Amino acid sequence: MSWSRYLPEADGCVKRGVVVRRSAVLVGSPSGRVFGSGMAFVSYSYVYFLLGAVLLRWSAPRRAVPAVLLAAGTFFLWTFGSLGLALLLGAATIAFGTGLGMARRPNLRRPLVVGAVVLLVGNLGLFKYADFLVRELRALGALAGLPGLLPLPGLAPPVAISFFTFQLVAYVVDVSRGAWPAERDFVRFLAYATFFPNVVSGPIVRPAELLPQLARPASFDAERFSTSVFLFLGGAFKKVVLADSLAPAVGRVFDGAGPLTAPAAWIGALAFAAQLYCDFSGYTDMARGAAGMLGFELPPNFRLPYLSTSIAEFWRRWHISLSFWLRDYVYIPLGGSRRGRFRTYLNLLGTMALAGLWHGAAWTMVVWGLLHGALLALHRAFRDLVARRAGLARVRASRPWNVGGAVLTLLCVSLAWVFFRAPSLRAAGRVLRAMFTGPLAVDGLAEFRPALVALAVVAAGHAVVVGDAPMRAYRALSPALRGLLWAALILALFWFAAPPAAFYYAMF
Amino acid sequence: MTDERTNSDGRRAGDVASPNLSADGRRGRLLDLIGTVLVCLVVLAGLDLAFRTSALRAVLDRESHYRLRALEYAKLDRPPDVVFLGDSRTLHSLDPVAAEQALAEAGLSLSAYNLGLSGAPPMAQLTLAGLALSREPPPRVVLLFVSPYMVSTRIDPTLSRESLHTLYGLRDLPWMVAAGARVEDILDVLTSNLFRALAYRGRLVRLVFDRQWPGPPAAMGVKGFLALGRVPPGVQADRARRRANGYRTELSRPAAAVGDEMLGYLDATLRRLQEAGVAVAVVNTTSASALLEIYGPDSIYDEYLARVRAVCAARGVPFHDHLRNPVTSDADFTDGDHMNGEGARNYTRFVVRNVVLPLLGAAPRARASGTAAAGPPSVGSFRVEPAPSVVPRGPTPGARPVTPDPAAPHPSPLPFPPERFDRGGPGGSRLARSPADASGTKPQA
Repeated sequence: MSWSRYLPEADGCVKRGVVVRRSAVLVGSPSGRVFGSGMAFVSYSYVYFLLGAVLLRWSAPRRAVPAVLLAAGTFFLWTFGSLGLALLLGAATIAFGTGLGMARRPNLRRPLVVGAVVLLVGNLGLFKYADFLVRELRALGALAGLPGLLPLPGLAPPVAISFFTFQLVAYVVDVSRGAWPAERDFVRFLAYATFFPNVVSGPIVRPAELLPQLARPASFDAERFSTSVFLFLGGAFKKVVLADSLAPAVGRVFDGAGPLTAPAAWIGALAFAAQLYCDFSGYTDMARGAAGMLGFELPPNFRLPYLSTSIAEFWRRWHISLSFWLRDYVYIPLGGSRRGRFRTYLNLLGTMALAGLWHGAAWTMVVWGLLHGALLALHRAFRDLVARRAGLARVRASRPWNVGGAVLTLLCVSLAWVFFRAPSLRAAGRVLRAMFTGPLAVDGLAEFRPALVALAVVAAGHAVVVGDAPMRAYRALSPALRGLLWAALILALFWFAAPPAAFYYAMF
Repeated sequence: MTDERTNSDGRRAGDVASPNLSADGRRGRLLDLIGTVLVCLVVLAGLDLAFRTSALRAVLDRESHYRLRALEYAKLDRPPDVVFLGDSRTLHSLDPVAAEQALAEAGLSLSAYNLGLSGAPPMAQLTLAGLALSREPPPRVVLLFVSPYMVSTRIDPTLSRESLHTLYGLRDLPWMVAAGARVEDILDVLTSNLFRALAYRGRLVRLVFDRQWPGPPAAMGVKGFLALGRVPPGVQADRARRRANGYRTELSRPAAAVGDEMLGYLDATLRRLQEAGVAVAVVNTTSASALLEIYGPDSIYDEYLARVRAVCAARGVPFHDHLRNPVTSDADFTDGDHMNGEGARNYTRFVVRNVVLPLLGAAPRARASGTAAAGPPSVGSFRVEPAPSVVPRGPTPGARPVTPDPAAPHPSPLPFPPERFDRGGPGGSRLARSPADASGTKPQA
């Protein structure tokens, strides 16, 4: 249907039959009109799409599975906008070509991999950071009496750009190091790059983790399918029931302008820590569950991170795929810990600053990253100091030490999250000031009750869940009890789903 | 961070899980999975069936204006010949009894019904059209009344999408596709028709968590029309001003824009009715004068008007602009949008004579001499000079609205030029007719 025919010719809005609006090209695009801003994971569209993809996957011959997944992934990305799809396909083609080029001309490995990384990261930089950079330069220029020299590019980062860029950089670097052979099947490679369960918000999947599965797609395993459905529903529960219940309280604290009491500020900060965990780990569970229903295994991305007894352990439990990516492709190439203490601390600061910037083009994100870098450096220094004292070995292995470490880590991480969530440095300062110097009044806390309940559930979950306990418990259930559990989870979604907040990590 | 280049969870690269199971083992697992799925579906379907047949559902249906309207329409002894669709402006401003009287005066014995619903934009009108067509025989004439707020991108989605869960059925799905509806909306309707409890989710959640107990049955009025009482002029003016202030958010650029979505539903509604052989017309609703101020050049009004006209022209459907019509004045309104009973009667008669009768091919009764029977007057947009002589001139948009002095006696009509128009109804003309026409006496000072 041509929408342009509804516009009067004299309006000036019709240009070569395309509806042009300032807000976004997406509004005038076919995908934008029928899918809005894309297929959210918690939506009817995604559920029906997933069912269709699962049916197609299991009814297709094994050799056609990569093509089926490519088609599904392409369609999925198209719903978010043609630009994002085109960019991803273009980037994937560059990565594939680079891999092949390195395989055929090993002597050109270095220029090829450098060129590919520059192109991929440059693409990310252009779409994600150009506006930020120009805005800051304009602000500097305004201070110097030269306002508005540079026009704002007005580029909005397409969905998934942060994740697929890192995934493709991992591929070309692994191939250049000889850690993984260049993929020679273009369709299979595109299926890897566009794998819809993880393409939007991770986990960042290394070639070794997915390409072999695409080369030899698994046969149908009913038990794996069953546990994958449970994982999917459990992830939706975490997102819809827990994370979305916490969102309003967090918004009240971080997005308001009025005075804050200390209890409210602390509840808001802790609620955000819980919200982000439930949102992101919930999404990851849904991604892994969807992949499992398709017969593929994605690596876990979270291991109860708030039980970490140190900041270093936190980064082995939180957004695991990103932290290991940063370790392998930034920290270690910078020298890691092999160039002396001072250089190690610098490497940690630089790597985490980059991590902050990857999450968003904003100074609050840079501060958040630097804080974590500083914490990691401090932890390293403290660990080195303590390691030299043999007498402290028993103390370090004791329960009080670990509990104290866990509490301190949670405190530091929660304080750093204030910068992650706050819309500006000033807003972060407001919350932090309230946390430490705000009045201790408890009236007005009744409105935080849903958030406190959700916080309690998250805390209880961390306290009782050990390792893979939920999955082991599920596997021990009879089919009928599993069916009841599925129905209970779906009913919980029915009763507790608030107007859904967007997946937080989808904006990266 | 450590330097060990281990896989994130310790597995070796490329490990692919491959359980060694016999065929019986695999079959057993498959049967277990099927059993799990069946138990889940049976539980959910059972709960849904229990809800469908429950007294609670019946009570919630009666409480909902939308649902009860559909139920009442389905129970009508005889399907109506003329149907009015629209939002609350239609609900309170189109009197089917007055319409039937006006039709009878033209020699036609036809029935009328008001299917207006509060907050019902074209999205709701599409399914209401389906409701109207669900009875045999279908209506002969359907009028769609539209307002600029209906197509604003700033319209409250909770209200504008109410019909998706209360009215839409599986029969509407193809028309939603024709309207270019979002996939999520289509699937929402599909799923909530399969599992009916989903359609009541919001209400059930409010019932359980907020203890919002079901209220009394919604008012249905007479033939769907809900008459409002007259209010003092000062009250009307005050309400109209407040309403105008409220509408600014939905109409003022640059924040507000005309959304394609509702235009798509309007187009699909017209097409659905035309394909069923129904004569259709679209009418731009009238407002009290206080609202005219917000229809100025900084609003989406002109674009709304132009685009609705374009939709109608594309479908060959007559479009009538009643924003400033010769029969209504502020005295006919209870606020900015909704007429009182008497105003509704007069306006309905105007609509019958100028819109319904031409659609039926019946000529209105001859007018008083000197007036060309050139069809309904078109006032155009605010940027277009209105046609001279027969077109009433109301307050200029953007100018101070004409607000009756609360201390004044019964409000004087808007300063329309003398209009020779035989309304034939009780009470005579609302306009400043030539004083010599009114009862033959000279006007009072």
